[in-house]
Amino acid sequence: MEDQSIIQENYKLILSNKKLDIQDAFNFVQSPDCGATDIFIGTVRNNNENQEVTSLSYDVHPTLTMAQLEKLAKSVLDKEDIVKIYLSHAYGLQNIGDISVIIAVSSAHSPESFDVCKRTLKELKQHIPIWKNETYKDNPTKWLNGADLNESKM
Amino acid sequence: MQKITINPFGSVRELFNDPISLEFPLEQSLKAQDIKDKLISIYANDVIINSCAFSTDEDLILDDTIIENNTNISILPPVCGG
Repeated sequence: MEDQSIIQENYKLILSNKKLDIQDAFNFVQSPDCGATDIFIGTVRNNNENQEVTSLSYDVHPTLTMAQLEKLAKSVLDKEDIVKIYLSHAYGLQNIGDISVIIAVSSAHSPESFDVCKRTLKELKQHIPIWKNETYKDNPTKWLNGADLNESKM
Repeated sequence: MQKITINPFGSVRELFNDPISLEFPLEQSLKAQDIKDKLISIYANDVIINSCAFSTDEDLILDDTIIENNTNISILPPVCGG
């Protein structure tokens, strides 16, 4: 698959197999009317459930994942006091320490940005069609459990 | 017969890694559970299949939605991005 992106005036969404760009996230969400920017950066960890993780791979549905990311971004902008939002997620093989996800939001004041950034990560984990396959030092690979999309209401 | 093509994602790739086509009687009004039942009869793994949702390329398919003949859908196990 090829990298995917959607860029609108107040949201930017990226699905990429290249290094995710923290500066791009900050550049996009910063705004003259915003005094607060909150950026969450998720990275690939070398352990999970007492096993040594050597790498992982994300499986994504190119069109549906982007459509659901767009639904999430619009929902945040509709319901919250957020001026801009940036959602970027990796797909394919990722090594330890690689950036797997960036969520950035901007708002007039800090409480909204802190709170929405945290809740948006939770929403992403529960509703966006992305699947994680870990590779271990002593075992082959395992698909991780997650949230049932039949219960997804976004 | 009506034909439904199913694209696998995530842990479903352990059952089949390439898209498969399933056939159903033309007169059958197909819903998500009918497709799950057929997949369970083929792959004998109700744990993975019953936990899955279905989608088109753009949106999730609700349980009571009729799935039309010659539709290309995706089967989506529980998600864990981030």
